[in-house]
Amino acid sequence: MSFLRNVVVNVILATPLVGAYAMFGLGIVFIHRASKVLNLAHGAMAMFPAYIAYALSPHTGVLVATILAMIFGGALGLAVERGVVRRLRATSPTAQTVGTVAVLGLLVAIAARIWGTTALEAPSLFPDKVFHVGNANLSLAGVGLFGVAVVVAAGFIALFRFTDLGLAMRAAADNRRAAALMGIDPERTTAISWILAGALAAFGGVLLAGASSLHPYTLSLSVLPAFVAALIGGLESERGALVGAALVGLTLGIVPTLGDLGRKTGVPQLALALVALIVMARRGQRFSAVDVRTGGL
Amino acid sequence: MRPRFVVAIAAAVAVILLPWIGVPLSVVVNANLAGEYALIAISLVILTGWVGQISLAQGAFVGIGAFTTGLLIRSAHVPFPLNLPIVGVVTGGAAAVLGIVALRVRGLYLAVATLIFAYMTETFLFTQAWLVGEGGASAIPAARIGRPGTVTFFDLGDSRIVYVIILATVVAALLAAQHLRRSKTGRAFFAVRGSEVAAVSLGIDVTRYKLLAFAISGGLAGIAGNLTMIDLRVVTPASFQFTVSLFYLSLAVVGGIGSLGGAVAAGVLFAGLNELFFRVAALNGYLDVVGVGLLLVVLLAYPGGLGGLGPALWQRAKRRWSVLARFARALFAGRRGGGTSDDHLVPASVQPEAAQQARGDDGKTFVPGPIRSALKRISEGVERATPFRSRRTIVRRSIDMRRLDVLEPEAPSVEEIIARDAASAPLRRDWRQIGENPFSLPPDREERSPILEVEHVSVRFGGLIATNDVSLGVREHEIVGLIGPNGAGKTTTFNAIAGLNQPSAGHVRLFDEDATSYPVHVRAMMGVGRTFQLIQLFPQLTVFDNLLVATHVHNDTGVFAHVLLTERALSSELDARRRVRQIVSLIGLEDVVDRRVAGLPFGILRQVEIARALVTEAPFLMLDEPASGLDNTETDELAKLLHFIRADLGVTILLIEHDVRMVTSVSDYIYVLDRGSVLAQGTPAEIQRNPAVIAAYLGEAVGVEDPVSSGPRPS
Repeated sequence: MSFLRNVVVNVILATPLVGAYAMFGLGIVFIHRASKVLNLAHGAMAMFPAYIAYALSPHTGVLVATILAMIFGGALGLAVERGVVRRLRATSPTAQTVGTVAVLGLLVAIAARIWGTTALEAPSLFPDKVFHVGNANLSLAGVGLFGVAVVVAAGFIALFRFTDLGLAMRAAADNRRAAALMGIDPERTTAISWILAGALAAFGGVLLAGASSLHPYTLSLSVLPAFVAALIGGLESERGALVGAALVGLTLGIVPTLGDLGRKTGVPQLALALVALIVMARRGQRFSAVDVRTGGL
Repeated sequence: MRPRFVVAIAAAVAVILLPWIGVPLSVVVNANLAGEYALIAISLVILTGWVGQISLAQGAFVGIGAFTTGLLIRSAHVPFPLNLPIVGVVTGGAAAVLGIVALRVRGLYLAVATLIFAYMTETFLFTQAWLVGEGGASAIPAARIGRPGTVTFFDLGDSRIVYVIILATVVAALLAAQHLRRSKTGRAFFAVRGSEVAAVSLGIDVTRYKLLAFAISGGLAGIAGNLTMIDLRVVTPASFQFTVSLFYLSLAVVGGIGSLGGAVAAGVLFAGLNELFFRVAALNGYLDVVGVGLLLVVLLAYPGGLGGLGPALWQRAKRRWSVLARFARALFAGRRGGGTSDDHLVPASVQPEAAQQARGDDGKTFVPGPIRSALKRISEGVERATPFRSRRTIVRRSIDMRRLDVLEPEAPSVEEIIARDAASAPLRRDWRQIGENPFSLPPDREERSPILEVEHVSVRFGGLIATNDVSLGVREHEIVGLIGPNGAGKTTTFNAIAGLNQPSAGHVRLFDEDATSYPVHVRAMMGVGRTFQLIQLFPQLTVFDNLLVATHVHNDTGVFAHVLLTERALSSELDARRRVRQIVSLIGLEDVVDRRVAGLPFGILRQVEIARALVTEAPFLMLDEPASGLDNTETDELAKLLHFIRADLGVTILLIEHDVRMVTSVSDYIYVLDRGSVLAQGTPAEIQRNPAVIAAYLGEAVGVEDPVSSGPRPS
């Protein structure tokens, strides 16, 4: 009985992570669908706006600072798309991916120059309140993170399901040329995808920093499991990313309760990685082909 | 001795002696760093540049290499030069494990998979105290090479000694990689990058070469880690974080992924920056920003990277220089004899005349650099063919291009042809000038030996039955057509024969052997060549190199022979080139042989793809809609080509075709597929009269005598 209770407690404790991974995973999926690129800068695009919110909140209050940080995040997303990813479209997927690596490095380096590399306490949108769950504590900030993520995820699914913009975005992601022939501007839908992903990353970054702390590397790298989440969902579907986020968060939450082995350093991450690799090994066709007429590769 | 040679030797000596000519210690330390960077960049050039597999986990392999070295020294007392190969094998093995994932996923999915691998290594493996050392740092004592009392003349505590060791390793890695690139292995790598489907159809075991690439790349990265450990003597997991992997990929991209020279240049550049920022106090702490900025600039402005930039600058310098040289020559005109010193490094005896003509005067472009010198060694008339010796039990069927003796000697009409062709150098016949079909088969189909027998094959995709109980046969020297409306299951049948999809029932027999369970590349080795509906050439390679890839099945030298450039590897290489030149002049592709495939006219691409299948000397060719996308003239030319390769080379052909006019004109026998089943079969004349066939094509109801119209309809 205590084992089951233990698991339930850990699931509840994992909910803030699930929320954060859901928000990041959604953004990764938006960007992948729009630009066919793996945005390795996603963590930095969450981290940098969190610092912006930190810098602004003494002057404007946390709520306004968060909104400004989200606007900044959207602009940052657009800038990365226009400045780097789009310019590398003609080269190769490797070059595009490395382009986002450059953005990651640049943002982390700038943040480290400005704010240093010691962990800072970030402002939280939610009052500083703590719930006691079992023997552990769950902050209101964490609960809020999960709640916001649920609302945001529902909002985006509705956007893609029920609005013309959502349809246009899905169409352009499927086939740019065909969508353009239908009067959809694929450049515009791509830009919107990046703005949404950027703002979402910013929001997630501010909330996650509020629930943990601010650090240029740590916060950037905390997005890594979100890649796993997006991947489990197939990198193409927002609902897949949400399911993936839940799986990832729960794995990281539950594995430590499974006896001594589970509590060892790195074992939850190992379990997570194995899950992801198995998911991938079961997917995909055996041989790739190329069409010479369209230039190949 | 030529001045260029002297300069090169002087430069090499200067590089080797660099640490002893009064440079500060920090320069030596950063030079070592440059060497380690170069090794890692080379490992990525091979994996990502050549084989097209992105790795975001290279830092993990370097880390595994470094920590394994520490473990070997601390726990097992294995000293440096002995632990290097062990570390290479261990990390190579670890990388091959990651490569297993790459067998199923590709592109960005593979990138994420490697990212997850790096994450796993960082969060799990590099937190284990037994591996990374107590207290989170792995340290080894400064030591001399070898156990006490044995070889002790290298002091590894001295960075300058380590410098020479690293330099030697980089040079060895460069040479090995360069040899590999120009070999059968390198071509297989490029083929996997270009089109896996085409590669496997040419007999290249894609699984093997992907795993090999991961193993080689991981092994090199591990060796870089080994040298890092020897160099620094203490490392921490922080040096191999996930971000470090990203930095390494950036390094390779700045070098111009795919270029070995660029990899070295990038390593030197970043280590040089390290030194610069260490020297200039005002720059202290801006290394990250500047390094990343540099990466962005290179990415956006010079997509070819340093490897592409170097040759461009060199060309420009050479142009400038040639102006100067012409000026100088004008000044000293008459004093010295002219003549270019650009010797053709391939001896004439090795190059058939036709090929020299075919390749113009640029004969050396297809003889790779490192092979040149060795070629000289065996130049004196060594033109021995390496007979193909299969290590597999499967008997390889192959046409003999020279004597055409595969044609049935019993068949009188064929004998005639042999006699005539033997008299008048058969391979000189220009197929474009052939008017009539000069070939006639033994009249009774049963007299010809079977090449392909498809026996009651059904292929299902989930619940969908794509082909249902299809039986068909192709006999020696026939041209058999396979026609049918869209969705009739033609390509599915084709892929079942080639091995690209597995039948749920039935058997595929090739050359009288049950091949149902054989993988694609083994069937290709048995002698099945094919072309594709969407042409699957390797777009980045020239026509010549595309054809050269197809010599894979005739070359039984291994990776080590390629790296070490053994004489056997060389003679196989010569043999391969001779084979390709034969086909080039046979098909008449001399004009395009040096052109890149991307951008050639469509009709030519079809011919190149057929020529590539011929290079494998497969006695059985399968052509998937060879006339699609061709105009009438090109289609007529294609028909002539098919007649020619059947009549003069004795190749048996099975073709799928939409163009009914073409099929009925070239085929000896036709099968009609409809809704996944064989609707009719017979000679072209019989098929043209068959009411069921007419109905299937015109969409009329046929009536009760049609046995298949009630079958399931694949979409």
